[in-house]
Amino acid sequence: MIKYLLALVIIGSGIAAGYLQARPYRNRTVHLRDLNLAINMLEGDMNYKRDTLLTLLKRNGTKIDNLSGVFFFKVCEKLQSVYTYDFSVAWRDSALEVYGHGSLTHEDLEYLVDMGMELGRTDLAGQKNMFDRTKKRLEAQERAAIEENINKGRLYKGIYSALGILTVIVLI
Amino acid sequence: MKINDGFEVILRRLPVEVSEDIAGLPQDILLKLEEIRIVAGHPILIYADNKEYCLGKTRDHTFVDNVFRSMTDYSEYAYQEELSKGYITIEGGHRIGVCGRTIYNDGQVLSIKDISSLNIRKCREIPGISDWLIPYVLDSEGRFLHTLIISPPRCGKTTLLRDMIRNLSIMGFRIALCDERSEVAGSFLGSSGFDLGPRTDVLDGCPKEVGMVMLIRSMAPDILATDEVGKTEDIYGIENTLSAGVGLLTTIHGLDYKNVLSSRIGYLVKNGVFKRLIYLSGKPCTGTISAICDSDNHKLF
Repeated sequence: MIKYLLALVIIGSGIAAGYLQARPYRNRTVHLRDLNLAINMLEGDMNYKRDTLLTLLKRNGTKIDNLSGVFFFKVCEKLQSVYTYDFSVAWRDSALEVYGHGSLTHEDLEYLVDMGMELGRTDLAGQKNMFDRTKKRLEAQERAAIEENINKGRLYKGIYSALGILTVIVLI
Repeated sequence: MKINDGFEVILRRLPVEVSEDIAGLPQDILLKLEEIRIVAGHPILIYADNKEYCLGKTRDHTFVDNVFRSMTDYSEYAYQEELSKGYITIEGGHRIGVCGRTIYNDGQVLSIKDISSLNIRKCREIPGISDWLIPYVLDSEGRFLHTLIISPPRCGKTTLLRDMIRNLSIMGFRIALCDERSEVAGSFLGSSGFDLGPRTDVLDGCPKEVGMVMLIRSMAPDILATDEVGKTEDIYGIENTLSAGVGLLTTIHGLDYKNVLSSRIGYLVKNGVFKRLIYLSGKPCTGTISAICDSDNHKLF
């Protein structure tokens, strides 16, 4: 009986380890999807309401209940805490703080930081071009992340589950 | 008289070292401060009580650009239309004149880039400055007479207009204010930065030719107030106001009667539409009322 229980635990651990190993790939797709949605909301509000970035980021930060909402809040916090804190610096620092130790790749972060360099700096037509470019880049990253999640995520889950089963066979 | 200047709004948006320098100036200069001029390649100049003060070292182009970005809350797009007219108005009604390289297309200035100089004009509220002149703008039955405030720039037109609105509103007149440049009410996120009285409705950021008509239809005012008329398009709004039987209280740039007659609303003044003409001058100090005249420019005060 104990032997069977042990075998189940080993197989379960293998599956769990596989899920853990595959989690960053899944998280990356989720973060990129959330970011794209948040950026879309920001663009829509900017076009329609024409409020300043501080107001827009604060409002959307309250509405959005995920990491991108935290990111928007962080930018506001930085801008308000230091006099004339440069916007692109506040944006970059917040991006690194919120996403820097997470699942986004260096390239994802680079595109996000690039956005902060131009955000708010031009008229609406210029902002639209910037949003279009950023969204295209992030959407491409999201597609790549989904594919990576399917391939590598499945691979890790499979490998670790197989390792668990193999260990059980060897032990038996 | 109480001076409510909301000056911290400007200080908050300036770099720390500059705002500390300004905040450290003597109190009498701070209270009378009118303008802060920042020009790339030169030190910051401060104007108070018709005197000029020089502040610290020479500032470069990056500094001017940073101040501009901070003044616009890092959101140039939000000030796009104002910027095409050469200025922006920030929270508290403070107006910032902007110079740089214009982006010009189809006979229109679209925007300004490569900002080279900024003129930060402090907006002030001085409750009580119009108390004594209110009887001059009312007839014997207490009805409001169409009034035009005339003065060159920086003589306190907007400050006087603001206090007249407050006084008339307190007296019971329903006032509709079309605040195209957000300077009179200093509106920010739906609330007025100044006390305009209990019966004043503010339409913020709307062009006068559109806003005046909207206000007449929607708010049924006794008096329609607006700042700085003079564009050809404004005449449409003024004529609508006059034909609706609503009192008109407005201001115009000008030195004297002759000057106003040569403006776009000159024919209205000549035809005696404005029953009261209030002349302001900067001497001996900003906001000095040099004369109050009737429609024929005969001095009443």
